[in-house]
Amino acid sequence: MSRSYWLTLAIAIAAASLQAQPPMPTDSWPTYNGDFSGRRFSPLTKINTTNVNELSLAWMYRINAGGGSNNNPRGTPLMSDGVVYISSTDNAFAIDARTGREVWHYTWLSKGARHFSNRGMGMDGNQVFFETPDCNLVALNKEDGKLRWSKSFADIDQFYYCSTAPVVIGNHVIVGVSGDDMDIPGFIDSRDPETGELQWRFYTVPMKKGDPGMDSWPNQDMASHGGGMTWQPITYDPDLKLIYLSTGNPQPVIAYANRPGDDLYTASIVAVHVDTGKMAWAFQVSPHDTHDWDATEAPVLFDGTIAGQPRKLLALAARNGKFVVLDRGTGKSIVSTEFVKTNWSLGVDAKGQPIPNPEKSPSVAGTLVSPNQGGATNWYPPTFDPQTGLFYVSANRAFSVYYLYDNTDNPQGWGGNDRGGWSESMLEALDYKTGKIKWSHKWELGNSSGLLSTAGNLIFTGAPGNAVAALNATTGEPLWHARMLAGLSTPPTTWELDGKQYLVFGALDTIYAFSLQAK
Amino acid sequence: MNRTTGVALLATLLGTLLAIDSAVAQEGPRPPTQQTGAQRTTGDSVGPYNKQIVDPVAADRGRHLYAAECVDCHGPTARGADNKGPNLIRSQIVLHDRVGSELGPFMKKGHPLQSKANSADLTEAQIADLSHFLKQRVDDALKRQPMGDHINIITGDAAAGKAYFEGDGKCATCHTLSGTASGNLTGIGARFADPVDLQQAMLFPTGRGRGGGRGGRGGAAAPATAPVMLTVTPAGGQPVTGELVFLDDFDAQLRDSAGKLHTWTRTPTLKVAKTDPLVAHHELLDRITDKNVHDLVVYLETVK
Repeated sequence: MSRSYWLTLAIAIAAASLQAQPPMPTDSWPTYNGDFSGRRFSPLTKINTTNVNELSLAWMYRINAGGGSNNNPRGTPLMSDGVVYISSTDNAFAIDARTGREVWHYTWLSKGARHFSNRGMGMDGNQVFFETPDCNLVALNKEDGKLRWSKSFADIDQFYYCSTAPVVIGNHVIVGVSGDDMDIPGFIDSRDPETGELQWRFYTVPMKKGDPGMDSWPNQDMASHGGGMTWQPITYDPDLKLIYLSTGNPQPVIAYANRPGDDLYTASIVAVHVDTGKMAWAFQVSPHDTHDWDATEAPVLFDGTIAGQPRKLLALAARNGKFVVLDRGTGKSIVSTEFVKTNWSLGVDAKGQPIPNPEKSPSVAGTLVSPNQGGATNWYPPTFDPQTGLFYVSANRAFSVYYLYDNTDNPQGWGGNDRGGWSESMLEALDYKTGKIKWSHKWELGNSSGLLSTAGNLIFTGAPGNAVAALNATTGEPLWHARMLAGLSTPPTTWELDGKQYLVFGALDTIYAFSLQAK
Repeated sequence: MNRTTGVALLATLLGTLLAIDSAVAQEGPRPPTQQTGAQRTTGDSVGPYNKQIVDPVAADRGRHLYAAECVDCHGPTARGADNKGPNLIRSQIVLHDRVGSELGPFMKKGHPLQSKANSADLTEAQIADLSHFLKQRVDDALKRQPMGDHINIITGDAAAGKAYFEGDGKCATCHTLSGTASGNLTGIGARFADPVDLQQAMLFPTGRGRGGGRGGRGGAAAPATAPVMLTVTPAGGQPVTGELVFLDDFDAQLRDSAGKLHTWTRTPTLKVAKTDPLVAHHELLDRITDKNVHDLVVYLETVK
């Protein structure tokens, strides 16, 4: 990617004119989602339905950073100027995009905290950014991997840990927090890319008297310990200057006796002004969640046509099995349905928000619930293809039994859990105008994967049997697969370099690059 | 490894050693019960973070002290009591404490005790015990702790369970409660130490399904079931039937009755038919109510 991309981006943001969504760059993958929209749609066509079955291995890079989650990146690999950047817990790597050779490897000396996973990086013209489990935001030189600065931004003694991919928007680095062991409030920070200094903080739950949403909690103490972690990288509309974040489940988890009410703004989609951190609107995907169904799935932004009118839309396929399409200027519901059959709700309210069935709350003797705690989908990103008009999601139909272990009137942290299960997995293509399933490819075995769509009419996905696969975006027909040593663990990406289109992703401890052999 | 990597690793090692040393130096002499995160071997705490590991013996001593001096205001689980004392497992003092590092100075300043004694007179050892007790209460609330046992899942009605077993549940179509035939559940109520394992095996007989959920524990071992069978018919060829070995979207593999392994790459013209003996269990998940589940468990528990 040329440095002019950043200049162009800055001008586009500054202009803030109402215009069609710009296409994703083709010579780079500069943000977690490839662009701000979360569509994960590449306009590249060199790899397409006619030749995808000729893809072959270009290179592999194996991570050796001490084992465990240090060796297992989950975030989308970034690419600019011929270098791939990827992070794991406490580690960041730069890899030559043509050869797969290591350019540099940076290791953060961790203070500790929970080492669960790292979900990726952000970048600007000179720096790459990633979060560490001990909640430091780290800025490295893109060129040589040297530390520029680091900033601690959450307290690990309160059981925060940090994993979210930072997203750079002009002069803001937007970072989120993870951790739902204990009852703590979620937030996102906007920080200065040159220094890490705090510009603003937005808490996802009410922290003081008068904060919006306070009346959805029994009291301020429960509200300000109410969870709503921000695991998912935000998406952004430069015209509206709105950031879209999707928030985690309420605390305490599973148990709920001491938090009657909707528990705002947990398990919600929230629009926040990029320059001020003030909330514009919110839509709650799981009011009063009792099943650990966070809504921190990707809020995907695209422009579409509803009832003949052009609309700026936001779509989210949620862990609880619901699919919503909103007007992203107002948060008003346009479609509210489900993408897998569920058994926990009693329809939707006037705002289009699901109404939970109290009889499906966790119980001492066990409640059979679908989906299970893992969810109908989860953090792995979906994709929207503007050519087909379809929203694609890696879906699970799953059952488990939810038990309440703490049936006192003041549970804390985790007061129950689910257990056991049966599930089946599908790749679904949804019509955004109705939420109806256009096609569904049922996998023979369990499968969960981030997705990528391209103008080559292809959907790339992880597949059972440690495979990466391509399906016809219009019909769902599988066209190509290759087996690796492990299943896909990062979402797939694509970009073009020296006239050649690559497919790049991680599978456990190895980054794989595929391309078409020159003829 | 390039130079940057090597330097980074060296810096990591040196940094770790220095940081551990400095963590020890800053804390000063420790009570004998102290353990730090640096000594842990779990993936939880890979750096010098001196997270306090609860000493259960000290925590037990702390429990007695807590009962004598604190429980009236802070409640039996340290989660506070209405209009009396605050929740201590959300206390910044407790969360930041390391074996009395925060709690000790706080008590020195004076804090009401039930016995009316002076809190400043509590010994360092007593403070350490109290710290371990409170940290243990914090740990009780964490996701990855063994969060107590199932309280009581025997809440259903045996007669209703029997009626469902023989009626709407259609369990009796495949299962008997005596005898030795396939599908018999002779003595099923005595096969599981915990009724919850029986409940899980009944709903999810394949055991640890993919759907186990974050932190959810897998199902118990269910009674042996018949294998999943596969019949594969190549275009223009004869069908081959055997036990499923592997089947995904791209390949199929079975072992026939003679023990021979067969593998095919799947194509549109290759017919693959799977026979899952547990399909009735999977379909039941859409129909069965929670009352049915609870009734069935109580009924099957009577089959000893």
